[in-house]
Amino acid sequence: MVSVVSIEPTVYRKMDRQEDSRYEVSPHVRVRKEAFGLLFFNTEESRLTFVKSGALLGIQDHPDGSKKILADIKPETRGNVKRLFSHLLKKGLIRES
Amino acid sequence: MSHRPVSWDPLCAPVNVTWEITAKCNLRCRHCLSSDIGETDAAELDFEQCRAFIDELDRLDVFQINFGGGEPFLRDDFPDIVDYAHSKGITTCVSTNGTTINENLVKRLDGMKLLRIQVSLDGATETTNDAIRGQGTYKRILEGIAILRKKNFPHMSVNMVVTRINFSEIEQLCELASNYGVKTRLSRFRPAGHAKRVWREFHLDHSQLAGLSEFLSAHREVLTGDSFFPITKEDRRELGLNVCGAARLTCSVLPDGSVYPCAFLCDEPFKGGNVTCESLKDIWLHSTAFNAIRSIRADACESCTRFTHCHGGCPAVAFFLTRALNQADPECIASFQREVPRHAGTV
Repeated sequence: MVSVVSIEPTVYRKMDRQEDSRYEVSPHVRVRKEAFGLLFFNTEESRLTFVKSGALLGIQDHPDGSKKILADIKPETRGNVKRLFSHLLKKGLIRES
Repeated sequence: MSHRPVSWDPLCAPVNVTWEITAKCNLRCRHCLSSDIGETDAAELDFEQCRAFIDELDRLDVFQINFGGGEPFLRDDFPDIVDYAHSKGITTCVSTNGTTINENLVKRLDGMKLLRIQVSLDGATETTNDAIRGQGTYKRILEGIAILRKKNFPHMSVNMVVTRINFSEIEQLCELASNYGVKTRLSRFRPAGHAKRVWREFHLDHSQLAGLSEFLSAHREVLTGDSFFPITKEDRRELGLNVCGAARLTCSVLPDGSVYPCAFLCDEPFKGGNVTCESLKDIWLHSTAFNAIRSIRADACESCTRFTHCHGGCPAVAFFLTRALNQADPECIASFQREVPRHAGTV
Protein backbone atom coordinates (compact mmCIF):
# COMPACT_ATOMS: atom_id res chain seq x y z
CA MET A 1 0.00 0.00 0.00
CA VAL A 2 2.69 2.44 0.95
CA SER A 3 5.90 2.46 -0.98
CA VAL A 4 9.09 1.55 0.86
CA VAL A 5 11.13 4.56 1.75
CA SER A 6 14.58 4.62 0.28
CA ILE A 7 17.28 5.07 2.83
CA GLU A 8 20.95 5.64 2.14
CA PRO A 9 22.71 2.23 1.92
CA THR A 10 25.07 2.86 4.83
CA VAL A 11 22.18 3.83 7.04
CA TYR A 12 20.11 0.91 5.82
CA ARG A 13 22.77 -1.60 6.80
CA LYS A 14 22.76 -0.27 10.33
CA MET A 15 18.99 -0.25 10.40
CA ASP A 16 18.73 -3.80 9.26
CA ARG A 17 19.78 -5.13 12.63
CA GLN A 18 17.06 -6.94 14.47
CA GLU A 19 17.45 -4.91 17.63
CA ASP A 20 16.57 -1.78 15.65
CA SER A 21 13.34 -3.24 14.27
CA ARG A 22 11.42 -3.77 17.47
CA TYR A 23 9.04 -0.88 16.80
CA GLU A 24 6.19 -0.98 14.34
CA VAL A 25 3.67 1.65 13.30
CA SER A 26 0.43 1.41 15.33
CA PRO A 27 -2.50 -0.11 13.40
CA HIS A 28 -4.50 3.13 13.27
CA VAL A 29 -1.53 5.18 12.07
CA ARG A 30 -0.04 5.84 8.65
CA VAL A 31 3.41 7.21 8.03
CA ARG A 32 5.52 8.47 5.17
CA LYS A 33 9.03 9.76 4.70
CA GLU A 34 9.61 13.43 3.99
CA ALA A 35 12.74 15.54 3.61
CA PHE A 36 12.52 16.63 7.24
CA GLY A 37 11.98 13.14 8.61
CA LEU A 38 8.73 11.23 9.14
CA LEU A 39 5.15 12.41 8.77
CA PHE A 40 2.60 10.44 10.80
CA PHE A 41 -1.19 10.50 10.43
CA ASN A 42 -3.47 9.20 13.15
CA THR A 43 -6.51 7.94 11.22
CA GLU A 44 -8.76 7.92 14.29
CA GLU A 45 -8.15 11.53 15.19
CA SER A 46 -7.20 12.81 11.71
CA ARG A 47 -4.11 14.27 13.30
CA LEU A 48 -0.72 14.87 11.69
CA THR A 49 2.58 14.61 13.54
CA PHE A 50 5.70 15.98 11.94
CA VAL A 51 8.79 14.25 13.29
CA LYS A 52 11.90 16.15 12.35
CA SER A 53 14.18 13.17 12.53
CA GLY A 54 16.15 13.82 9.34
CA ALA A 55 17.73 10.56 8.21
CA LEU A 56 17.76 9.06 11.71
CA LEU A 57 14.55 7.11 11.23
CA GLY A 58 13.29 5.14 8.26
CA ILE A 59 10.37 2.92 7.32
CA GLN A 60 10.44 -0.70 6.19
CA ASP A 61 7.54 -2.80 4.98
CA HIS A 62 7.39 -6.09 6.84
CA PRO A 63 6.10 -9.30 5.18
CA ASP A 64 3.30 -9.51 7.76
CA GLY A 65 1.91 -6.22 6.45
CA SER A 66 3.12 -4.07 9.31
CA LYS A 67 5.60 -1.23 8.97
CA LYS A 68 8.74 -1.19 11.02
CA ILE A 69 10.43 1.99 12.12
CA LEU A 70 14.16 1.59 11.73
CA ALA A 71 16.85 3.70 13.29
CA ASP A 72 20.34 4.74 12.39
CA ILE A 73 22.00 3.81 15.65
CA LYS A 74 25.57 4.96 16.08
CA PRO A 75 27.22 6.01 19.33
CA GLU A 76 26.63 9.66 18.52
CA THR A 77 22.95 9.18 17.55
CA ARG A 78 21.88 6.69 20.21
CA GLY A 79 20.55 9.36 22.59
CA ASN A 80 18.49 11.13 19.94
CA VAL A 81 17.07 7.88 18.62
CA LYS A 82 16.05 6.81 22.13
CA ARG A 83 14.30 10.14 22.71
CA LEU A 84 12.51 9.92 19.36
CA PHE A 85 11.24 6.40 20.01
CA SER A 86 10.13 7.37 23.49
CA HIS A 87 8.20 10.34 22.05
CA LEU A 88 6.56 8.24 19.35
CA LEU A 89 5.60 5.53 21.84
CA LYS A 90 4.10 8.12 24.19
CA LYS A 91 1.99 9.51 21.36
CA GLY A 92 0.80 6.03 20.42
CA LEU A 93 2.21 6.34 16.91
CA ILE A 94 4.38 3.25 17.25
CA ARG A 95 4.32 0.15 19.43
CA GLU A 96 6.70 -2.64 20.29
CA SER A 97 6.30 -5.51 17.89
CA MET B 1 9.64 42.49 16.43
CA SER B 2 9.49 40.65 13.14
CA HIS B 3 8.45 37.02 12.90
CA ARG B 4 9.80 34.56 10.40
CA PRO B 5 7.35 33.48 7.75
CA VAL B 6 6.74 29.79 7.36
CA SER B 7 9.19 28.41 4.90
CA TRP B 8 9.58 24.77 4.10
CA ASP B 9 10.39 22.49 1.25
CA PRO B 10 7.23 21.26 -0.39
CA LEU B 11 6.06 17.93 0.96
CA CYS B 12 6.43 14.98 -1.44
CA ALA B 13 2.66 15.07 -1.90
CA PRO B 14 -0.42 16.56 -0.26
CA VAL B 15 -1.46 14.94 3.00
CA ASN B 16 -5.07 15.55 2.14
CA VAL B 17 -6.92 16.07 -1.13
CA THR B 18 -10.27 17.82 -1.36
CA TRP B 19 -12.12 16.24 -4.25
CA GLU B 20 -15.33 17.63 -5.68
CA ILE B 21 -16.46 14.34 -7.14
CA THR B 22 -19.48 15.76 -8.97
CA ALA B 23 -21.04 19.09 -9.84
CA LYS B 24 -24.53 17.62 -9.65
CA CYS B 25 -26.56 18.83 -6.73
CA ASN B 26 -30.20 18.71 -5.74
CA LEU B 27 -29.90 21.93 -3.71
CA ARG B 28 -29.02 25.49 -4.64
CA CYS B 29 -27.46 26.84 -1.47
CA ARG B 30 -26.91 30.55 -1.74
CA HIS B 31 -23.36 30.46 -0.37
CA CYS B 32 -22.08 27.38 -2.23
CA LEU B 33 -18.33 27.54 -2.77
CA SER B 34 -18.63 25.85 -6.14
CA SER B 35 -19.35 27.93 -9.21
CA ASP B 36 -20.73 25.34 -11.63
CA ILE B 37 -23.08 23.48 -9.32
CA GLY B 38 -26.16 22.10 -10.98
CA GLU B 39 -24.65 21.97 -14.45
CA THR B 40 -25.56 18.37 -15.04
CA ASP B 41 -23.59 18.12 -18.26
CA ALA B 42 -20.36 19.26 -16.61
CA ALA B 43 -17.53 16.80 -17.20
CA GLU B 44 -16.65 14.50 -14.36
CA LEU B 45 -14.16 11.65 -13.99
CA ASP B 46 -15.74 8.28 -14.68
CA PHE B 47 -15.36 5.36 -12.30
CA GLU B 48 -12.21 3.98 -13.94
CA GLN B 49 -10.60 7.42 -13.92
CA CYS B 50 -11.53 7.77 -10.26
CA ARG B 51 -9.91 4.42 -9.48
CA ALA B 52 -6.78 5.38 -11.40
CA PHE B 53 -6.59 8.66 -9.49
CA ILE B 54 -7.00 6.87 -6.16
CA ASP B 55 -4.20 4.52 -7.24
CA GLU B 56 -1.98 7.55 -7.67
CA LEU B 57 -3.02 8.96 -4.28
CA ASP B 58 -2.06 5.59 -2.81
CA ARG B 59 1.34 5.65 -4.52
CA LEU B 60 1.89 9.16 -3.15
CA ASP B 61 0.88 8.10 0.38
CA VAL B 62 -1.89 10.68 0.56
CA PHE B 63 -3.57 10.08 3.92
CA GLN B 64 -7.06 11.46 3.44
CA ILE B 65 -9.57 12.43 0.77
CA ASN B 66 -12.25 14.99 1.60
CA PHE B 67 -15.08 14.27 -0.81
CA GLY B 68 -17.49 17.05 -1.66
CA GLY B 69 -19.29 18.46 -4.62
CA GLY B 70 -22.02 18.96 -5.59
CA GLU B 71 -23.71 16.29 -3.60
CA PRO B 72 -21.42 13.23 -3.71
CA PHE B 73 -24.21 10.74 -3.01
CA LEU B 74 -25.95 11.71 -6.24
CA ARG B 75 -23.31 9.63 -8.00
CA ASP B 76 -24.51 6.03 -8.02
CA ASP B 77 -20.94 4.76 -8.00
CA PHE B 78 -19.88 6.97 -5.10
CA PRO B 79 -20.01 4.27 -2.37
CA ASP B 80 -17.80 2.10 -4.61
CA ILE B 81 -15.34 4.97 -5.03
CA VAL B 82 -15.22 5.45 -1.25
CA ASP B 83 -14.80 1.72 -0.77
CA TYR B 84 -11.90 1.66 -3.19
CA ALA B 85 -10.13 4.49 -1.32
CA HIS B 86 -10.59 2.58 1.95
CA SER B 87 -9.16 -0.56 0.36
CA LYS B 88 -5.96 1.46 -0.08
CA GLY B 89 -6.00 2.56 3.56
CA ILE B 90 -6.99 6.12 2.69
CA THR B 91 -9.31 7.83 5.17
CA THR B 92 -12.29 9.60 3.62
CA CYS B 93 -14.42 12.46 4.85
CA VAL B 94 -17.65 12.97 2.93
CA SER B 95 -19.38 16.31 3.01
CA THR B 96 -23.05 15.80 2.23
CA ASN B 97 -26.12 18.00 2.28
CA GLY B 98 -27.91 15.20 4.13
CA THR B 99 -31.01 15.18 1.95
CA THR B 100 -29.96 12.14 -0.06
CA ILE B 101 -29.42 9.90 2.95
CA ASN B 102 -31.73 6.90 3.11
CA GLU B 103 -31.79 3.49 4.80
CA ASN B 104 -30.31 1.65 1.81
CA LEU B 105 -27.43 4.06 1.49
CA VAL B 106 -26.66 3.87 5.19
CA LYS B 107 -26.71 0.08 5.01
CA ARG B 108 -24.11 0.31 2.24
CA LEU B 109 -21.90 2.67 4.30
CA ASP B 110 -22.25 0.75 7.53
CA GLY B 111 -18.98 -0.76 8.71
CA MET B 112 -16.71 1.58 6.74
CA LYS B 113 -14.21 2.26 9.50
CA LEU B 114 -12.25 4.90 7.60
CA LEU B 115 -15.33 6.97 6.75
CA ARG B 116 -16.13 10.33 8.30
CA ILE B 117 -19.39 12.07 7.50
CA GLN B 118 -20.04 15.77 7.67
CA VAL B 119 -23.60 16.96 7.17
CA SER B 120 -24.18 20.61 6.28
CA LEU B 121 -26.78 22.49 8.29
CA ASP B 122 -26.77 26.27 8.14
CA GLY B 123 -28.97 27.21 11.04
CA ALA B 124 -30.43 25.83 14.22
CA THR B 125 -33.90 26.81 13.08
CA GLU B 126 -35.91 25.96 9.99
CA THR B 127 -36.33 29.61 9.03
CA THR B 128 -32.62 30.38 9.08
CA ASN B 129 -31.38 27.19 7.46
CA ASP B 130 -34.01 27.22 4.72
CA ALA B 131 -33.25 30.85 3.90
CA ILE B 132 -29.75 29.70 2.95
CA ARG B 133 -30.10 26.09 1.79
CA GLY B 134 -33.62 26.16 0.37
CA GLN B 135 -37.23 25.58 1.37
CA GLY B 136 -37.88 22.31 3.19
CA THR B 137 -34.23 21.36 3.59
CA TYR B 138 -34.05 21.72 7.38
CA LYS B 139 -36.45 18.85 7.99
CA ARG B 140 -34.86 16.65 5.34
CA ILE B 141 -31.36 17.27 6.70
CA LEU B 142 -32.42 16.34 10.24
CA GLU B 143 -34.11 13.20 8.89
CA GLY B 144 -30.84 12.30 7.18
CA ILE B 145 -28.87 12.84 10.38
CA ALA B 146 -31.33 10.69 12.30
CA ILE B 147 -30.99 7.83 9.81
CA LEU B 148 -27.20 8.02 10.01
CA ARG B 149 -27.31 8.06 13.79
CA LYS B 150 -29.22 4.77 13.85
CA LYS B 151 -26.02 3.10 12.67
CA ASN B 152 -23.87 5.01 15.16
CA PHE B 153 -21.25 6.25 12.75
CA PRO B 154 -18.46 7.15 15.16
CA HIS B 155 -17.06 10.05 13.15
CA MET B 156 -19.92 12.31 12.29
CA SER B 157 -20.34 16.07 12.49
CA VAL B 158 -22.75 18.80 11.58
CA ASN B 159 -21.09 21.67 9.74
CA MET B 160 -22.31 25.24 9.69
CA VAL B 161 -20.73 27.93 7.55
CA VAL B 162 -20.99 30.93 9.85
CA THR B 163 -22.63 33.93 8.19
CA ARG B 164 -24.47 37.05 9.26
CA ILE B 165 -27.69 35.11 8.74
CA ASN B 166 -26.98 32.33 11.23
CA PHE B 167 -24.39 33.89 13.56
CA SER B 168 -26.88 34.28 16.41
CA GLU B 169 -27.72 30.55 16.29
CA ILE B 170 -24.24 29.12 16.86
CA GLU B 171 -24.89 28.05 20.42
CA GLN B 172 -28.29 26.60 19.53
CA LEU B 173 -26.71 24.65 16.68
CA CYS B 174 -24.17 23.14 19.07
CA GLU B 175 -27.03 22.05 21.34
CA LEU B 176 -28.93 20.58 18.41
CA ALA B 177 -25.88 18.61 17.25
CA SER B 178 -25.27 17.43 20.78
CA ASN B 179 -28.86 16.21 21.04
CA TYR B 180 -28.23 14.08 17.97
CA GLY B 181 -24.97 12.83 19.47
CA VAL B 182 -22.76 14.38 16.79
CA LYS B 183 -19.97 16.96 16.85
CA THR B 184 -20.32 20.54 15.63
CA ARG B 185 -17.99 22.03 13.11
CA LEU B 186 -18.00 25.76 12.37
CA SER B 187 -16.50 26.92 9.11
CA ARG B 188 -15.53 30.37 8.09
CA PHE B 189 -17.51 31.87 5.23
CA ARG B 190 -15.25 32.50 2.26
CA PRO B 191 -15.77 34.25 -1.06
CA ALA B 192 -15.50 31.35 -3.51
CA GLY B 193 -17.82 30.19 -6.28
CA HIS B 194 -21.41 31.32 -5.77
CA ALA B 195 -20.49 32.73 -2.37
CA LYS B 196 -18.81 35.68 -4.08
CA ARG B 197 -22.22 36.91 -5.14
CA VAL B 198 -23.56 37.03 -1.60
CA TRP B 199 -20.40 38.12 0.15
CA ARG B 200 -21.71 41.56 1.13
CA GLU B 201 -24.91 40.12 2.50
CA PHE B 202 -23.44 37.11 4.30
CA HIS B 203 -19.98 37.97 5.60
CA LEU B 204 -19.52 38.60 9.31
CA ASP B 205 -18.97 42.12 10.59
CA HIS B 206 -15.94 42.85 12.77
CA SER B 207 -17.82 42.39 15.99
CA GLN B 208 -19.17 39.01 14.87
CA LEU B 209 -15.74 37.83 13.72
CA ALA B 210 -14.36 38.66 17.15
CA GLY B 211 -17.31 36.88 18.76
CA LEU B 212 -16.77 33.76 16.69
CA SER B 213 -13.10 33.73 17.56
CA GLU B 214 -13.97 34.00 21.24
CA PHE B 215 -16.55 31.23 20.95
CA LEU B 216 -14.05 28.87 19.31
CA SER B 217 -11.49 29.66 21.98
CA ALA B 218 -13.98 28.84 24.72
CA HIS B 219 -15.39 25.69 23.08
CA ARG B 220 -12.56 23.42 22.17
CA GLU B 221 -14.94 20.57 21.52
CA VAL B 222 -16.25 22.47 18.50
CA LEU B 223 -14.32 21.59 15.36
CA THR B 224 -13.07 24.15 12.91
CA GLY B 225 -10.79 23.88 9.94
CA ASP B 226 -9.90 27.51 9.88
CA SER B 227 -6.32 28.61 10.07
CA PHE B 228 -7.26 32.15 10.86
CA PHE B 229 -9.02 32.61 14.16
CA PRO B 230 -6.41 33.80 16.61
CA ILE B 231 -7.09 31.46 19.47
CA THR B 232 -4.24 30.47 21.72
CA LYS B 233 -1.29 28.60 20.36
CA GLU B 234 -2.03 25.63 22.58
CA ASP B 235 -5.59 25.50 21.30
CA ARG B 236 -4.41 25.70 17.73
CA ARG B 237 -2.19 22.71 18.30
CA GLU B 238 -5.19 20.79 19.50
CA LEU B 239 -7.33 21.89 16.60
CA GLY B 240 -4.75 21.27 13.94
CA LEU B 241 -2.80 23.46 11.62
CA ASN B 242 -2.08 27.10 12.19
CA VAL B 243 -1.03 28.02 8.71
CA CYS B 244 -2.80 28.08 5.36
CA GLY B 245 -2.43 24.59 3.90
CA ALA B 246 -3.09 25.50 0.26
CA ALA B 247 -0.39 23.89 -1.94
CA ARG B 248 1.55 23.09 1.24
CA LEU B 249 -0.55 20.33 2.77
CA THR B 250 -3.61 20.11 0.61
CA CYS B 251 -5.01 20.71 -2.84
CA SER B 252 -8.40 20.63 -4.49
CA VAL B 253 -9.55 18.51 -7.42
CA LEU B 254 -12.66 19.50 -9.35
CA PRO B 255 -15.11 17.05 -11.02
CA ASP B 256 -13.27 17.25 -14.37
CA GLY B 257 -9.91 16.46 -12.76
CA SER B 258 -8.48 19.96 -12.72
CA VAL B 259 -6.30 20.72 -9.71
CA TYR B 260 -6.12 23.91 -7.64
CA PRO B 261 -4.26 24.84 -4.45
CA CYS B 262 -7.43 24.80 -2.36
CA ALA B 263 -11.20 24.73 -2.70
CA PHE B 264 -11.33 28.50 -2.19
CA LEU B 265 -8.76 29.29 -4.87
CA CYS B 266 -10.34 27.73 -7.94
CA ASP B 267 -10.06 30.71 -10.28
CA GLU B 268 -8.28 30.07 -13.59
CA PRO B 269 -4.96 31.75 -12.62
CA PHE B 270 -4.54 29.22 -9.82
CA LYS B 271 -5.06 26.12 -11.92
CA GLY B 272 -2.12 23.74 -11.52
CA GLY B 273 -3.10 21.16 -14.13
CA ASN B 274 -5.47 18.25 -14.71
CA VAL B 275 -5.05 14.69 -13.48
CA THR B 276 -6.48 13.24 -16.69
CA CYS B 277 -3.38 14.34 -18.60
CA GLU B 278 -0.62 14.69 -16.00
CA SER B 279 0.26 13.22 -12.66
CA LEU B 280 -0.76 14.85 -9.42
CA LYS B 281 2.85 14.50 -8.33
CA ASP B 282 4.04 16.68 -11.22
CA ILE B 283 1.34 19.24 -10.59
CA TRP B 284 2.11 19.30 -6.88
CA LEU B 285 5.86 19.66 -7.25
CA HIS B 286 6.26 21.66 -10.43
CA SER B 287 3.22 23.74 -11.33
CA THR B 288 3.79 27.46 -11.49
CA ALA B 289 0.55 28.20 -9.68
CA PHE B 290 1.38 25.96 -6.74
CA ASN B 291 4.88 27.33 -6.38
CA ALA B 292 3.50 30.87 -6.50
CA ILE B 293 1.11 30.11 -3.64
CA ARG B 294 3.98 28.62 -1.62
CA SER B 295 6.01 31.77 -2.02
CA ILE B 296 3.34 34.18 -0.74
CA ARG B 297 4.56 36.48 2.00
CA ALA B 298 2.18 38.84 3.73
CA ASP B 299 5.00 41.22 4.73
CA ALA B 300 2.73 43.55 6.64
CA CYS B 301 1.87 40.72 9.03
CA GLU B 302 5.36 39.77 10.06
CA SER B 303 5.58 42.33 12.87
CA CYS B 304 2.18 41.36 14.26
CA THR B 305 2.02 39.58 17.59
CA ARG B 306 -0.55 37.19 16.15
CA PHE B 307 1.64 36.16 13.24
CA THR B 308 2.66 32.85 14.78
CA HIS B 309 -1.04 31.93 15.03
CA CYS B 310 -2.21 32.68 11.52
CA HIS B 311 0.83 33.44 9.31
CA GLY B 312 -1.16 36.01 7.40
CA GLY B 313 -4.50 34.20 7.29
CA CYS B 314 -6.42 33.10 4.22
CA PRO B 315 -4.98 34.15 0.83
CA ALA B 316 -8.33 33.43 -0.83
CA VAL B 317 -10.10 36.13 1.17
CA ALA B 318 -7.20 38.51 0.57
CA PHE B 319 -7.34 37.83 -3.16
CA PHE B 320 -11.09 38.36 -3.44
CA LEU B 321 -11.12 41.58 -1.48
CA THR B 322 -7.81 43.14 -2.56
CA ARG B 323 -6.96 41.31 -5.83
CA ALA B 324 -3.57 40.51 -4.32
CA LEU B 325 -2.34 37.38 -2.57
CA ASN B 326 0.47 38.91 -0.54
CA GLN B 327 -1.86 40.98 1.59
CA ALA B 328 -2.94 40.40 5.15
CA ASP B 329 -6.25 38.63 5.45
CA PRO B 330 -8.71 41.56 5.38
CA GLU B 331 -10.77 39.85 8.06
CA CYS B 332 -7.84 39.65 10.46
CA ILE B 333 -9.08 40.39 13.94
CA ALA B 334 -5.86 42.13 14.93
CA SER B 335 -6.53 44.78 12.31
CA PHE B 336 -9.73 45.94 13.93
CA GLN B 337 -9.66 44.65 17.48
CA ARG B 338 -9.34 48.14 19.01
CA GLU B 339 -12.67 49.13 17.55
CA VAL B 340 -14.46 46.09 18.94
CA PRO B 341 -15.43 46.24 22.62
CA ARG B 342 -14.77 42.94 24.36
CA HIS B 343 -17.77 40.58 24.09
CA ALA B 344 -19.40 42.93 21.56
CA GLY B 345 -20.21 40.05 19.25
CA THR B 346 -20.90 37.44 21.87
CA VAL B 347 -22.64 34.47 20.40
